[in-house]
Amino acid sequence: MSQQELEKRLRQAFERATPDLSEQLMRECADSPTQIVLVPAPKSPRPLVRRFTGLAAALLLMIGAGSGVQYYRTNLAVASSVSLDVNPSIEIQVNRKERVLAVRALNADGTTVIGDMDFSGSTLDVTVNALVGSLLRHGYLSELANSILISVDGSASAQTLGLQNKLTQEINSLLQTDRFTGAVLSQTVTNTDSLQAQADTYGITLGKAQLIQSILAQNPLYTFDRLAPLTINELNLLRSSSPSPAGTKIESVGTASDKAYLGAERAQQVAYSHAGVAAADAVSKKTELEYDDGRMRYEVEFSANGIRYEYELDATTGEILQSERKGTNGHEDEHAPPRAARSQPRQTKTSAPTRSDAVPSPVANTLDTAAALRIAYAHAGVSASQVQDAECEYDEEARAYEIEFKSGHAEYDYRVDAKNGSILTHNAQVED
Amino acid sequence: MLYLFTVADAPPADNTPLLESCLQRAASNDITALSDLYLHTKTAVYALSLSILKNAQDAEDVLHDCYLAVYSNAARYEPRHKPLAWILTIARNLCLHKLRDRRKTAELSEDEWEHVLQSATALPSEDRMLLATCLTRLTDEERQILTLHAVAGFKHREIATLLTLPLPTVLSKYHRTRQKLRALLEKGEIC
Repeated sequence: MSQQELEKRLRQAFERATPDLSEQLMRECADSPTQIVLVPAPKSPRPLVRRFTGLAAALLLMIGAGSGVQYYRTNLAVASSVSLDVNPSIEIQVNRKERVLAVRALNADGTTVIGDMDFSGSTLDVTVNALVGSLLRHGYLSELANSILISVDGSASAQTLGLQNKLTQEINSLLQTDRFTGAVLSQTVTNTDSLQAQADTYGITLGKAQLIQSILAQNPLYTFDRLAPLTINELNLLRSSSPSPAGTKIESVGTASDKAYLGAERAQQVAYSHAGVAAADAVSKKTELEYDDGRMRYEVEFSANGIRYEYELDATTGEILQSERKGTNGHEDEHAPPRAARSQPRQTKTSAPTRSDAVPSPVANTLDTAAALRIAYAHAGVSASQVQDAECEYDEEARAYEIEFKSGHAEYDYRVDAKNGSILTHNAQVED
Repeated sequence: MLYLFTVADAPPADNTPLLESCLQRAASNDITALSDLYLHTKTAVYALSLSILKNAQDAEDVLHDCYLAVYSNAARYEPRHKPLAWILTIARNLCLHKLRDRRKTAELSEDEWEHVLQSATALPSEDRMLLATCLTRLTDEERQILTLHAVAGFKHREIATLLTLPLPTVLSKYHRTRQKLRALLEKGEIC
């Protein structure tokens, strides 16, 4: 008997057991309508200990403020704040004893996950346990999207790192399910004004804002506003498609699920089929999952029989969004399905190859696009996280990068020499 | 161990608008509203009363008195409350007064329960065993929390308010009680 069936049978049993007083009640009310006074709940006898509560409170005051402050610091003051992000975002505040003071939803999905559970006074592990259970039950964590981000606010102290590691282990073990295993990202978040401002602007947690900033550091072509709406699993996929820069503070356990998408192997098959190339003939292969123009897409690159192929596929449907082939004689052939809504020219991807047989930069011994972008941003005095609508194209003939981007109310144009990184031309215009 | 708190599987539909309408009609001395109120809430009231009093006759008395009080005081209902919560609060207060008058709970043995339930209604034997198990093998709090959720469709937060218990207590007790009752029933082989 399932739990639901048990409840149903209990309900039915009480229904059958309830006497039918309907007619009797109607008769009595119709015959002699009387005003009946509602009775309050009887007062329970006051326990002896409660009679002395006032005296105890007075004594506590007399003992001195010192012990009261100590009590407050240990039990009532927020010692750590932990946020859990999936797509639902939830913040947990705990005291020094790691007892929960408050659990708060930071978005509508978070409210769904918390439901009517109240964790005040619960231990942190029980709270996390229940929240992860609810995330699973509501389908926010599944084999299609298995990533969760744990962010612990505070400086990188031993206590903070200890809490981060403990939660990572706990949640990782909870996500070893029969159907899938989870991917856990964890980090310590140091609050800064700029991080807080971005979190507030996009209605996301500080932790998610910091994760996005780290991805922007990996790939300057992404912009904060484009990444903010993505789920943690999507961000984790983007993060894992490029090597993390040195000094990254994000710990990662497990692999982000790409089962909601075509998969790299299937994406390659689609591209081979379209190109009329046998899989065995394809060499120098590179497949990356990227986010551009409002959708996840696979970029598939390979060479076969002296021709270099580049494809962009919708990661969910496998639709070919763009294809390009380049022969050894320099002849280029580019096809893109009509796309009225395409907002910008095709972007040169900046992420470095992750496989040893991947293709090199546009031209050997030159800057890659990420480096060119960093040079332009540095010259403009802006950080990658402040940039919007960045575009970067490589002029093969001149061996230079054409870079355009916006930051605040200004639009910037740069031309950067790909050989030595010098800025050839630059222009900035402030919007009215 | 993964704790899965089930909070959204209470099948009784939220008939708040219907009950509010009935209370408005009752406030206008529409006697048919009493019949409708009784039809839609009697099981929850009786289940809670039986859970508290553990005595079928006393529960029936409270069931009767509760609806007289509801009909008589319908004009005092404030729409910011859920109507069923208001009705169950009245029922619970009546139960507590009856308990105090009785000084102690007149608990019946399992055999006596079977007899009372059998004589009072034409209940199937499975129902009798289920109710007897629920009434004799669960603690007062366990029984009240389970019936309020399973029969009245109350959310845990509403149960905590009605029974003046901390929500974590309600959550953990509800979870354990379902397991306990299921284990008891499986042991009794009525599943």
